Amino acid sequence: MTNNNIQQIIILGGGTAGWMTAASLSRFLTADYQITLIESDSIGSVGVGEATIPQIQVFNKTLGINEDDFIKKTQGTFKLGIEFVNWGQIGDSYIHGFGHLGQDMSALPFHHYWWKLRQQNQAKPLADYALNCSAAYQNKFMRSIDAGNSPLSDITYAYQFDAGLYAQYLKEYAMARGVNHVIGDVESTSVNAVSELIESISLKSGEILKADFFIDCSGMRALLIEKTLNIGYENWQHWLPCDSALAVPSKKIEPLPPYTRSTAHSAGWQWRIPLQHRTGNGHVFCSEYMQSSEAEKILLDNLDTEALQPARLIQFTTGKRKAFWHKNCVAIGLSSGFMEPLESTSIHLIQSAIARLMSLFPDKSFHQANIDEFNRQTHFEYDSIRDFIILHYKATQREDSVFWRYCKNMSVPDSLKEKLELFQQHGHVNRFNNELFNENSWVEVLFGQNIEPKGYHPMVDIMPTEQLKQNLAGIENVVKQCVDYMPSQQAFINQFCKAE
Amino acid sequence: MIINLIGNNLASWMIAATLAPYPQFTIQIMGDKTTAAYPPIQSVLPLFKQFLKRAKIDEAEFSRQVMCQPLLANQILTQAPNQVVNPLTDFAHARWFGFCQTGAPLGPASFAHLYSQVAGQNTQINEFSDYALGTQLAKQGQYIAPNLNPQSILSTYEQGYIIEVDSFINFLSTKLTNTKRIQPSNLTNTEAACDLRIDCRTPKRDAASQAIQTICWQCQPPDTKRLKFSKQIQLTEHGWLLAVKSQTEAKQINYQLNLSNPVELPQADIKKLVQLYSQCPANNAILDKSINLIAAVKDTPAAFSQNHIVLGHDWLTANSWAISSIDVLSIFTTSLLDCISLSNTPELFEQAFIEQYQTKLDSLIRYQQLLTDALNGTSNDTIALFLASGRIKQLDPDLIHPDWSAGLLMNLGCYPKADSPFVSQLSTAQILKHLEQISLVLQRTSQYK
Amino acid sequence: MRTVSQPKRIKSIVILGGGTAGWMTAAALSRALKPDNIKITLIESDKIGTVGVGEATIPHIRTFNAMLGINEAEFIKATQATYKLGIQFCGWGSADSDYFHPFADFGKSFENIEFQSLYQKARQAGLTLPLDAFSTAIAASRQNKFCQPDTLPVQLLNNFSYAYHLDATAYAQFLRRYAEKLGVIRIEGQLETIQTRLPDGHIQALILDNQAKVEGDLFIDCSGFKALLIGQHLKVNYQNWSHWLKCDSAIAMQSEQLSPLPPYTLSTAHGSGWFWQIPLQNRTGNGIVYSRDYLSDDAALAKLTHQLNLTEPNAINGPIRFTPGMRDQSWQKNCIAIGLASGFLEPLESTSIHLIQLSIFKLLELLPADTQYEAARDEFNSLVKTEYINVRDFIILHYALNQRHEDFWQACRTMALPSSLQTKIDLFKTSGYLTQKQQGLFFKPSWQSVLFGQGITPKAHDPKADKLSNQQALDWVQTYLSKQMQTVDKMPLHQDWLKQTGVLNR
Repeated sequence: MTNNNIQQIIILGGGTAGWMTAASLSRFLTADYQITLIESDSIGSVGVGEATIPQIQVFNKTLGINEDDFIKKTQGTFKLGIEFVNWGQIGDSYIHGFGHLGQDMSALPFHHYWWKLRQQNQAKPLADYALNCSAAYQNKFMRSIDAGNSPLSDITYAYQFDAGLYAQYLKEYAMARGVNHVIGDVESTSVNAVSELIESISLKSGEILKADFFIDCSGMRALLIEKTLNIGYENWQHWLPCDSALAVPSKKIEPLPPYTRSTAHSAGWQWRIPLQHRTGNGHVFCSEYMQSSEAEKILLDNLDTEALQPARLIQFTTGKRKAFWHKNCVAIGLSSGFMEPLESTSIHLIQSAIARLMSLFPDKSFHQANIDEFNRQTHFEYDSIRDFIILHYKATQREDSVFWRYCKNMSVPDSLKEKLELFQQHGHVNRFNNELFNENSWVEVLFGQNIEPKGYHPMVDIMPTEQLKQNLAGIENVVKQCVDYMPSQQAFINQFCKAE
Repeated sequence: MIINLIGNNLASWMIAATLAPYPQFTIQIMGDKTTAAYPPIQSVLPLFKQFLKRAKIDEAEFSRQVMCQPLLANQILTQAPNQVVNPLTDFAHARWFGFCQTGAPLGPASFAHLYSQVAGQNTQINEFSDYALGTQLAKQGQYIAPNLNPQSILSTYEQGYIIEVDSFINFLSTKLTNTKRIQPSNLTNTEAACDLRIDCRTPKRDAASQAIQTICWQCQPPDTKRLKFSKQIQLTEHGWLLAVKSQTEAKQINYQLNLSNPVELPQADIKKLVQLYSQCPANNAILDKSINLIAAVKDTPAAFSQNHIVLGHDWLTANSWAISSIDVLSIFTTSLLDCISLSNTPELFEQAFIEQYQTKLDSLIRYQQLLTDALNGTSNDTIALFLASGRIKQLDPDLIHPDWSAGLLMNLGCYPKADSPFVSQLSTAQILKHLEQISLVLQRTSQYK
Repeated sequence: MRTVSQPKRIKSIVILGGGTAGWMTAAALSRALKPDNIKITLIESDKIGTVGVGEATIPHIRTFNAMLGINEAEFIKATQATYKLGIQFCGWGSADSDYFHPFADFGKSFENIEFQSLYQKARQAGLTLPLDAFSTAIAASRQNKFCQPDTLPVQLLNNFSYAYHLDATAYAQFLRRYAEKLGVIRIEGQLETIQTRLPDGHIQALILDNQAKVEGDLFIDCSGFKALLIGQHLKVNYQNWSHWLKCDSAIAMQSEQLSPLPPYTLSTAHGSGWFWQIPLQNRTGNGIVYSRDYLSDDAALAKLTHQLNLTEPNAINGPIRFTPGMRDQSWQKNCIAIGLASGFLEPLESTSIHLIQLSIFKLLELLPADTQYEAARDEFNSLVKTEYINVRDFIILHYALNQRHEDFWQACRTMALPSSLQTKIDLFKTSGYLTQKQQGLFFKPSWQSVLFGQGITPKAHDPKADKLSNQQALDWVQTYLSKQMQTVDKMPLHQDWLKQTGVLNR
């Protein structure tokens, strides 16, 4: 019986996506698979300071990466959530924190009870009942400890790190496991006209690299999935009109915040990602409503610390590829689509694509069933994250610029519209089919941007109001005590994982 | 069929003229003669011929009886701000373009491409407009009537006219003896029974429309040869200036200055401007009239309801560099005549008429826009395509021949990209020889006269 | 991130696919370009058959041939061509009706009044003849007569034009000889691999089954329905029009040549589609076009055999499957699709070759100097699209206006039409008013022939015509008719004309 297994795999592109893919493949495939990663030394990768969501822990764990070692080597910091400033209205601020929100009380999620009292002006802001949010505001951090049913037993966090260093870290990891690293510029590709299989990649040097399976990690240029296979792109600019970003690093922030901050401006928003040695900043804006010179001025005027380099412009088109896997080519990373990093999902999309690829790993026959399932799942993931990001723009009361007026009045995807309508009734959030952002995330953003249900859930009334008040006060107290107990993030890092 | 035309003016007479060949139509012009709200002298595009044909007016008779002269070309003078150019002596800045085909293709290579290929490297070649018979005749102050025979070189150009509006109205009203003139004391009586009513009255200026102050005068400068058979447009710091003669052998030149800043000027300032631009003492100039035109917007198409058309602004206000009220009325009347067969079903009539009138009007507006953009150095789809491929964007309908648009662009310095595939296979010597031959033929033709 | 690449001069054009589209393109390009300036290569495989059978054309093909400088007599002999004055449509309006669509105007206007209005008034005065009685071309067709209009004495009605019926395969061969003489290089082989240049994603080279590598700057996709480059590779979307044009299959069959030789194409409607009959010098091309939703392949073959009075099917080609429609863009990146690769409309109005020719002419006009061709590409795409939609609407018209009772025809009659077409029909029904385009195919007379021919009589006529009485109009149309009779009397039989002019093959 002949072996139908894939023998040679080419990963095109050596940014975060390329090396994450290479690291995973080298970890989970036998040495019978020859993995080659082609990287151009003339093309920089887009990654700047990168913020993530908690799922990254799973990825690192499966590779067997030591967390402290990883934090040290990538100038990493811990992240409890994202602060959103000026989104609902100018002057507003809320934190979308990871992890628990309050405490479940009998049948319903916490926020239903909270909302009843809040309407009567008898409850504090939502953040006071969430450990992540409260700790973030005080720049505190620690990992979970064994503390019974205290919130300290289950602290959910992610990281903020230097993406270039992370790629470097994974590159060493992958090369130690036999990944073949080719440096060169791609000149052309060959595709079989009948089977549509990619046959080879030619480099400017004249070298021709053949493989059975190609992974397109070439970023927004999408050299294989789009330029070679012409899959097509679904444009989302009518929902997510931002198309440019200016990125600039600045000096370190002290005290070191354990959260990412996103500040809305008049035609976009600005990120701030604190690392150990410096801060990543960027202004995402819509060029239709703002010149880049103006965007740069706004960015620089709103830095908390001194800029270290001139700002760099990145242009993009929000949307997704019409298919992510076609014949013998899979797109991972920005070649598969682009959504602004408002909710720090870029790395998550890479990681989940890798996980999906692993579970549906093909052989040389490239069964269409595998491919269809991969595409179906990826489309679902893209669409649900898209809805969550659109929510931030749509759920605004701002009228101070053409951009915000557009966002406020734009029509949104039906899936989002239904969710909003449902929430506005009794505060119910339907998490569909295990989508990435759970009920808590939606609730925090919706309340944070002043979207309020008309009434509260009728089942809340089963708990006498007095008891409810006591419960909430109790939770608030527990959260406060926990935060008091936590060390500052800087202290925590100094103790366990300070970069050399 | 009774057709009532409300208002006694250029529009009503042109409409009446197109309907006149059909004696079964009863045409009534109702109302007093209204004061003109359009330039007294207008230049019209060659599509005016369509109007004459539809109205069954003999072109020779028209040009004999109406104060007018044939128009073969336009000249545009551009200058630096504050620098006054005497349009009659200083021709260095004049760009000529007309209604003509320029040169001839060489195999598959278009003439615009051929010319662009050698224009940069050869100083001895002539201006682009010198390779078109129409513009060349105009430059020399000569006139030969264009000819329809496709074999003849005289078919490479068409002519427009420069027309004195009052004389034109007079001509029409004398000719149209069957058109009834009714002067009701109160215009509400015009609701009188009819099958179709067209309101040609000058509409009130509304907030949305912008006024253009126009100063018109006549005077007699020393040399007027260069204004034979051409119209001159000058871009000045005060606005744009039009200089034309309404009759070939006239000594008087008619000026029309459209002020870019529409403020009412005191008489003294007007005199200063007159003197500045006509290079003759203001006392010698006959200040004809100073009128307020409504520069409006094409988004008020002729309004319609139940066989009642309100002409609206368009025809009054298209007093642009390239098109005139008469041009717009020509389109209006031909569209009306085409669609009148639908007049028994008002909704369909309205739909078909508006569609036809609007698309044709758009075609004229594109031409004006092309000229404006080419002068300002801004790009648009047509210019981008021309620069890339030497072709004029094809749209349907287009009342402006692609050769005219190409000539306009070339003469204003918009050359297509060099080394077009068909040109690059020719040697420079071949191209120059071709150009020389064309010059020769044109020379012979213009001398033959 | 956007990458800016330097424009590259176009030095080489590669045509993928022979056949009518491929060789027409090659011939036109070779006529306009010198091989030492821009090299033209055509790839075709003897293993792949072409779809072209007996092909009917419209008069525009003469412009194409004239551009190439082709001698008409030589062309006619080489392609077994006959002359064509128009198309006869049988059974389209109602099952027993027939009419002609000629390449000519109807009648002649009088006193500034269009003939259509005169005709409408004459009918009010008692005229019973159909509109298509008033055309020299039709009268000649009905008597199988033909001569070239410019050979008629001036006092006669030489108010018509003509096209040809030809053997498309022979035409392709004829153009191949022409193109190869002018330096077009033909490469035998089948496409195997496509090489893409990065980062712009342009096609860089085609590698064939015999390992030959053909590099180029522009690629013309003439690979037919397979659309190897524009469709399969570049994945440009194909707009499907089958909700308007329900036929999806055709079978072609040859038969003996006809005598007397008709100077027209015959299109006969049947219960779920139509038959074509295209007379050539040496044989007759026939076929059936049908919708498989209403007629099986076997039944269609039997129907065609019966229609031709044959006992056995003879020299069959097919069934050929097609989807009416067109590419969203015919020109994408450095690939331009011409012919079936760019779209398909059934040959009811003999437009296949015209649509090829249109693309070729527009390509020649817009041929870019280098790879910075965006403006030219957009213009090309918009012009091709306009013409396809133009032809599409005219073909839909034939299906929409019918009084037949079969399911297929009822479905055609009740379908929702493109709104521009619906408006056009409504305007005509009301008062005979026809909107007129300046460019593209099918002017007023074409629309008049189908609208009147398929049973639409306008409710009213143009009030401008009322300066004449109905009787005066009747007198005028009858005067016209007698002049037409004189003209047709002077014309020879079609086959005699072919013989006399020495273009009839033995």
